[in-house]
Amino acid sequence: MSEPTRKEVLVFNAALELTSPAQREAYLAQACTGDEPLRRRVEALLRAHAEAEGFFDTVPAGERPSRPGAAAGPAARAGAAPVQKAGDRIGRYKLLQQIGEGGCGVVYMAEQEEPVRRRVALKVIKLGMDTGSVIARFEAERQALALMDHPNIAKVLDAGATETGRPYFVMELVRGIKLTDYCDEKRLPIRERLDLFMQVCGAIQHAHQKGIIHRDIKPSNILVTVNDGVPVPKVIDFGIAKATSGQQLTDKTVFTAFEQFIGTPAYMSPEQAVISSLDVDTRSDIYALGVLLYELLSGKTPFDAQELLAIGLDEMRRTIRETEPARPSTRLNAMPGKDLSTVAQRRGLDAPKLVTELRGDLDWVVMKCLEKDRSRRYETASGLARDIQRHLKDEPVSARPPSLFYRLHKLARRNRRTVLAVGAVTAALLLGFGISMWLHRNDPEFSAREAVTLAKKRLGNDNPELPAIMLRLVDVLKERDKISEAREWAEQAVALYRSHPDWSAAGRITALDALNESLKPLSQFEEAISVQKERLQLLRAQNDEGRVKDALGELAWSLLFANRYVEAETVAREFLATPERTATDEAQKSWVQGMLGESLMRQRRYTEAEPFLLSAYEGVKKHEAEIGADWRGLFLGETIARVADFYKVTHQPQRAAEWKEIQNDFEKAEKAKKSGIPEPDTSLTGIETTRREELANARKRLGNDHLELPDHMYNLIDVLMANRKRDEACLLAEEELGLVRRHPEWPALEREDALAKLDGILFEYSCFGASAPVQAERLTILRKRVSADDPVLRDALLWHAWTLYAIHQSARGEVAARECLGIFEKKYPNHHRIGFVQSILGGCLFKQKRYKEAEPLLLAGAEGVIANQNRADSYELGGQFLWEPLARLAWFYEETGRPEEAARWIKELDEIQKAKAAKAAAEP
Amino acid sequence: MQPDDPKAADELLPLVYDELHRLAAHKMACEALGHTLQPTALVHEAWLRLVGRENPRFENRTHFFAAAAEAMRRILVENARRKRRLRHGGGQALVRIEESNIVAPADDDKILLVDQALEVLEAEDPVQARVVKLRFFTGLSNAEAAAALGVSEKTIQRYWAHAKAWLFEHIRSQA
Repeated sequence: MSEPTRKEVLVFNAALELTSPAQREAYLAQACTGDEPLRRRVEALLRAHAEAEGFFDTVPAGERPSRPGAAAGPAARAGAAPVQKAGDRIGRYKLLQQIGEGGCGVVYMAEQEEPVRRRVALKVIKLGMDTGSVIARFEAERQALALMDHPNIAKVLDAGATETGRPYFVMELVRGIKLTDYCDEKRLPIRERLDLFMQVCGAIQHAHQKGIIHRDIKPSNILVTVNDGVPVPKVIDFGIAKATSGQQLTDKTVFTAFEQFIGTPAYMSPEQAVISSLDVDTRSDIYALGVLLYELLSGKTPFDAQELLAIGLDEMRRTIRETEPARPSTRLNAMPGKDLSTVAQRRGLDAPKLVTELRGDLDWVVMKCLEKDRSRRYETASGLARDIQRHLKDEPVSARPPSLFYRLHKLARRNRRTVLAVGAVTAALLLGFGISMWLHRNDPEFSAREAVTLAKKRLGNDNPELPAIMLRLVDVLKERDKISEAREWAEQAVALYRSHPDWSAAGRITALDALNESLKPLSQFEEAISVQKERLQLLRAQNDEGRVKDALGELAWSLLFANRYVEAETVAREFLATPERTATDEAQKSWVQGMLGESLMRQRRYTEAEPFLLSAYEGVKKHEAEIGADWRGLFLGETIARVADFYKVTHQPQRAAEWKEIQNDFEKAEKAKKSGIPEPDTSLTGIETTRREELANARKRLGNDHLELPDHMYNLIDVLMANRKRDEACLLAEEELGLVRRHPEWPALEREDALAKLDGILFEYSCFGASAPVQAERLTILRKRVSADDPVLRDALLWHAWTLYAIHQSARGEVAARECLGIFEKKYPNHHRIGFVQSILGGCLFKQKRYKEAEPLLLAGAEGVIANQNRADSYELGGQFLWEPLARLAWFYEETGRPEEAARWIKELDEIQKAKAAKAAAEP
Repeated sequence: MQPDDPKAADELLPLVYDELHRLAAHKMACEALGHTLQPTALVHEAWLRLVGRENPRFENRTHFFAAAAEAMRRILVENARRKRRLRHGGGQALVRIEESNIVAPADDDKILLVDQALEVLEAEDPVQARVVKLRFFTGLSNAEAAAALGVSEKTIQRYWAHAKAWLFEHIRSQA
């Protein structure tokens, strides 16, 4: 410490101890003799002192209570004080501490001393139970309980009675938190919630197979523990609900049942709501799983627990038995906006996005679990899990009322994904690796184009992989609304298949799907029709009846659009001649009847047309509830329009007017419904507007040079990127950087942030050339701010080296990679990313043709990432960090004339891809 | 105050920083909803863990706490910046924000102001800056900070009193 500062500290503190101003004055005069600046500084500090104390809040953080809310634990609640306390013994268990309290008992952590010393959870049931029969019922099920062995089930180990005659249960101790709390706290997105939920389904399925029904599934009976960073849900309390319910119906037990009821009425199935009913089976657990899923998705239970309690026992039971709950997405829409955004935020989404995600599949899955009539619920928990799996894989869920367009929609998406998977590895190997790094990055369009060019050159036109790589490009182009170009590539892919009839028919169907999907938005119905016919023929050859039928429906629809009424009639009749597979296909059938009616009407065969049109309307109307909001407009709207049109064309003015009114009402209602559901795009636009205003206001309020501006810019850039307005985002990021550069006095952090942001955008643009200098500037700042082996610096170097490698500045890339590798080796010798850095360095040397030096690094890199692929903390290795080093090594061997070695690594790559695909496809 | 080698603390920083992040994440995963983490407790636990592993580089407690205090300061400043950014965005997050439940010693703006002023103080007097990191950002008491730095409690008290007035004066002069 410098001498002057030390003196300043001493004088300041000494003066502080003197309370009277006169004393201080005298002391300062003496202590600061000959040092007027010191005196002025100390005086200023003394003046600041009182306010400074307030500013710094003199209660240090360490002296605050360490667990806010801990004191308000269950034990502190009035009237609930347990009879047992820590230190007491129950049987061979020593109570250590109370860890929870539920509707029917108090849970302790306890220690078992014999035969093994272990910690257990011990639940003492509250008074009001017939201990003898509780234990007898438990004993009856003990055998079955012992058979359960599942990683997501906490075992029930023992039961007995306390000295005061209360029953207790002993369970495996689970240190975890309630499933719903865990999900909210971690802000788990929907997908991860579904993953956890499917594990719960697996546990319940296991129990059901052993003949055990849980009967009390609810969030507090599913605890999440984290093992090596992986959350594991555990279902607790198996067997307890059964042992403690279903007693003889005395006044007392009805009261008890009610009391138990109070804990979880929201999770009670309709059949359980009948108190006298002992008729509970596995499907009651399915109902409860449905409630759980409802809550995980929407943050609410189908019936509000508080409201249920408020309406009294009988009314509560009636509600559970009779009232149809709202679908999760409908429920969300009915919430006040603020609550909805909170729910959405806990799922890492904005509100409209959440509603959209739940609408459709997930709504239907949940509602199928919640059917009042249990024969209409899922048969098994694994059936429920499978349906969720289907949803995640974009396959039609069984809960969904099947509809033509729904299935077609799913089909197209699934095929697209298969195509992407097929083309990925081949494309990566073709591309060489400066480009392949783009593949999984954010300019798929560029990489997809490059892949096609190279595939044509290297594979020739006779390779069945070629169309798959073309369809990759089609997919990207369609997503970017470049439909015409997408169509051209799809046509080329289809042409390739046509000239190679020996290639896979499934591939050809996929190509036809892609072409069909790009023709429809261009209203090229004639072309679409011939594509659809070709597809139909192939599907027929494959005997895929379901898809044949779907394809017929779509063809009839396209024929109507193309004014080819005679053919439309034929196709519609063919559709109607095949039997409906399920009752819910009826709506779709009625819709096709409407098409048949229209085709007849256009042929002026009015007498024949009318009955079809009217029965179409009746049929669609009858199944209206099952159609689902997404397709109502098409099914019902089209059908109504057809009838209205019919009466207009046949000059029946009165009926025409009536139907016009029906049509207007319908459209008005649809519009009103839609307005309640903000579309995701418009909402992002909304955020964009808000943020634009915020930035404009900030500029007005603070001028163009204020430290707060970068924050507003940063926010707007985020949303611009999300809305794909990259040019503007990039300009704004450059402006932000310019602003920050003009103010060297601002914290260096601001500049670093601005640079990082701009770098990120440039990377998304695939503008690696522009990225590199930005990264270099950021590194200069970082080097001043942090030590030479700081992890932030380390990662920035990694990024920089990677970029330089990509733009073929291999010598500079080598320098950055070496520095980065040096930090890793010195500070993080076991880090899972080392392999990746080694591979980049090897790649830089490889590109400089320094093959001898490159090989060991490339090899070590590939082996390193493989060795680390299953490390719990290396989730990012699942993607590019894993495959890129392997692919680079393969490429190296290819280029250096060692094809066998190359083939070995390509095989390795394929296996990793396959293993990944298999893992993804594995049933829960 | 014993002379120590600031480089030694710098070398520890990445290790402690990672450990604190990891610990905080781990704690949040295991603890109940609404639970918050105290910086002091986190730092102490990091110390136990790292020393428990008999890491020879941790012979010097002073170095450890210096590194830990700096790491905690960074974590808190990062959190504050992130939250401020969210606030300016009208509370609507586009991306998933990993919110940390580490108890901040003050509100976000204050943390950022103190952090900026501290950079200036650090240039003038690194030892005082270290006391600020331990007392303010890490939440150690005078006694704990004294033990961590191997000086008397009285010394910590004096530095802290002076640093508070100094930082406040500096912040006010910048406003």
